[in-house]
Amino acid sequence: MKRILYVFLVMLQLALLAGCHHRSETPAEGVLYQRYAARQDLKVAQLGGFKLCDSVRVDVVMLQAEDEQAWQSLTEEFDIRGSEGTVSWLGDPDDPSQRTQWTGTSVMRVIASHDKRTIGFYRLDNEAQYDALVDYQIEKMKI
Amino acid sequence: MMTEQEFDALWQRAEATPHTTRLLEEYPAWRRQRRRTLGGAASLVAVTAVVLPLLTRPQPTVNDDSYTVAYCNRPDMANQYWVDMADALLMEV
Repeated sequence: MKRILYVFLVMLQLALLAGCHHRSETPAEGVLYQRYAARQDLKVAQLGGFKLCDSVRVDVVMLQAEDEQAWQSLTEEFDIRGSEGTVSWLGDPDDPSQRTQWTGTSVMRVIASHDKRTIGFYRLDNEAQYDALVDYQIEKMKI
Repeated sequence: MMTEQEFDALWQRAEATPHTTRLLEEYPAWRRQRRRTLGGAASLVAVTAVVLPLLTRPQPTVNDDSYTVAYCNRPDMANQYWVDMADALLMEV
């Protein structure tokens, strides 16, 4: 009988752990999302687990300006030059306006489209995500 | 089957009398019953602990094989819009 009780207790522990694990699946609101979510002139979204391939997903934050004035403020804030086409850079994850280089640690792949008045921040935490993003773009270009 | 209180009362009575043999024979049965009760309670706790986290598991706004839109400051916007936009930006570079 004691053995059965022990089994139940072990099951209980596993179930509680499973519960904690499930709760952690939904990503918390990122700093970037929180920073802009309250702005009325921007549409802001945080995508968790944007699928790049079967085994690699990344988190993405999107900022979209409602009007030209809002877009101008974004372009100034992120130092986006020009007035048409698409601009892309690797940014510091804590301050994506700061340009950086890939060193194997976390970076933001930032893509800004003047036409869409939208900036996408793709968070890359490891080499697998970095490679998968490049592969994803190449595959999409083939279609 | 006697309760714990009944057993305690019986035990005290038995201690006061020499006829304790039958009482001691009953003891294992009472103990078995108590263990069965504890076992049942433990099963209930275990089942609840398994089912409850599944029922209360937070669900993302949208979750299919390819994406999850976790947060948006415009709840009326279609989630697919953002996924298409994230995809479109990657295509533009």
